[in-house]
Amino acid sequence: MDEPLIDVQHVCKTFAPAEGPVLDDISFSLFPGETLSVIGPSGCGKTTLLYILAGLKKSTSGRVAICGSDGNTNGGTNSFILQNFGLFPWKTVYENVSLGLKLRKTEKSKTRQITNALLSELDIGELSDRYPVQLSGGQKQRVAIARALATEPDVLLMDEPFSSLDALTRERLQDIMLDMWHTRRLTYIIVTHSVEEAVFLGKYILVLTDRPTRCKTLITNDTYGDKALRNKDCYFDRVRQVRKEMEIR
Amino acid sequence: MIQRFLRYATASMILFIGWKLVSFFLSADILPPPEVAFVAFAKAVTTAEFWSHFIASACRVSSAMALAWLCGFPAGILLGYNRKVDRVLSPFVFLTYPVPKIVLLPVFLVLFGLGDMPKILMIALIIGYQIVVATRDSVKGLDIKYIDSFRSIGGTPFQTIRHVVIPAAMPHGFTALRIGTGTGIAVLFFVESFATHSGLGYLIMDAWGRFAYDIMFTGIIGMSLLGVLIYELFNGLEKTMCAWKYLESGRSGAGQ
Ligand SMILES: Nc1ncnc2c1ncn2[C@@H]1O[C@H](COP(=O)(O)OP(=O)(O)OP(=O)(O)O)[C@@H](O)[C@H]1O
Ligand SMILES: [Mg+2]
Repeated sequence: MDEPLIDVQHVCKTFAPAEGPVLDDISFSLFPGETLSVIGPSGCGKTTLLYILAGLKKSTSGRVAICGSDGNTNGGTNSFILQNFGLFPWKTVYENVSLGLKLRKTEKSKTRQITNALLSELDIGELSDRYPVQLSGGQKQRVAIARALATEPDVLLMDEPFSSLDALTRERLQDIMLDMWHTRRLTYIIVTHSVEEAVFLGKYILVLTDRPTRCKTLITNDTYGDKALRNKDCYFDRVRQVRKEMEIR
Repeated sequence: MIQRFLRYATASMILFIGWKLVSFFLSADILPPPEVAFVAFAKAVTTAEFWSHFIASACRVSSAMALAWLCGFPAGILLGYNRKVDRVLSPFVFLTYPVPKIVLLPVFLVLFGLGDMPKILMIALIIGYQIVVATRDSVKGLDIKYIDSFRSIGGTPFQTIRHVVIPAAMPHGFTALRIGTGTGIAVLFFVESFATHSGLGYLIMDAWGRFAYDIMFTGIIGMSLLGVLIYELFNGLEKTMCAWKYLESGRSGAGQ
């Protein structure tokens, strides 16, 4: 526990110099098993931040290190659940979930075992032969989670994973995420627009400013991890606190 | 399946009546009434001669389309996916695309002789262009989030082509093939009216020269049949190879 799993130092990102920086000096770090919610105004660069963490975009300056389980400071693996799913419409549920394992040339029988275990854990076992168009929004998101977890990544990155779902489905999936965290001690970063979701799913809550985007505050959320949290006073207090932070100019 | 058959039957009926009307108002010599043409056709299908023409045409057009696909689809994928290759080669494609390739037929006849080779190459060239352009555009239009998503689970560029780019481009490739079927049959007719004594195109032109209109229409119906068969073959292939697309559009013929 002495080395952070994710270490982000002074990350800046500028797309067009004329428009000024999108991300301006973002820093935070996360230890294994810790979770972070990122919340901020629309267009402030949350998706961009995740792309940089996933290694799909380069930061203009600053340093991102994701530590591998072997201690290699830059060898960490990640899985990224993109805004609006990113499931492949031409692959069945089973093929989508097992894809990462297939790409890693995992043994067929092992792939089947891992995939089926995840599918039944997420309660989508009977959907394995369907294509994404044949699924509801909540089912699609379960598939996306299963796919992201199949390769046992060091870090899970999620970009507004539940924002298109109705309130009930959304809460059920948040519960599932919490279960997953309890059973696997996942390290994840979730970008969200919902303060309630940020509080329910984040051990830490990073509030970002409008552009040029900086870290406004990093709130430590000691209420995190309790499944019955939604009915407790401390939860509402925390939600109120985060909301107040967001409103401060 | 039955519904599909009924729709085809109804359409055939309407076409039949339309044809009948037109032939009634024109002279029967130029356009024989449909029943005469079909009786002649029915007689012809019992002869080995008709089938030898039919098979000659079918072989030419299907090998040309296969060739066009084998060259055009990968080329379109490459142009669409690799920006460097696209920058260098696309100007060539788009400068030569509007040139009517059919005018090169005499050159092809000189270069490749009088056999099947120049005919097949001519059809393949014309359809191949359509496939290249359609495939390239579809890859260019592929939502980047699929590629990002794939890379985030560890896909290499080569795996991206295999698991993302090709399956996404397939339906567009099939559309190009279906459109190409019409073009292909038209070009087939043209190339078969030169330097050959086999094929439905030859059958039609030869009968026309002899004022044998019933035989001419036997050839015309034969060519239409060939076109419909090829078109339906591509439909069937697409429905098995791109099942996902078929579900999405909800345009299933057989009562999904
Ligand atoms: N490729 C790009 N080129 C130029 N500007 C970009 C590019 N990608 C993103 N931006 C800009 O960067 C800013 C941040 O975009 P980003 O998608 O990260 O925002 P976001 O916080 O995820 O927004 P939302 O909450 O609406 O999803 C936006 O103003 C956007 O216009
Ligand atoms: Mg976003």
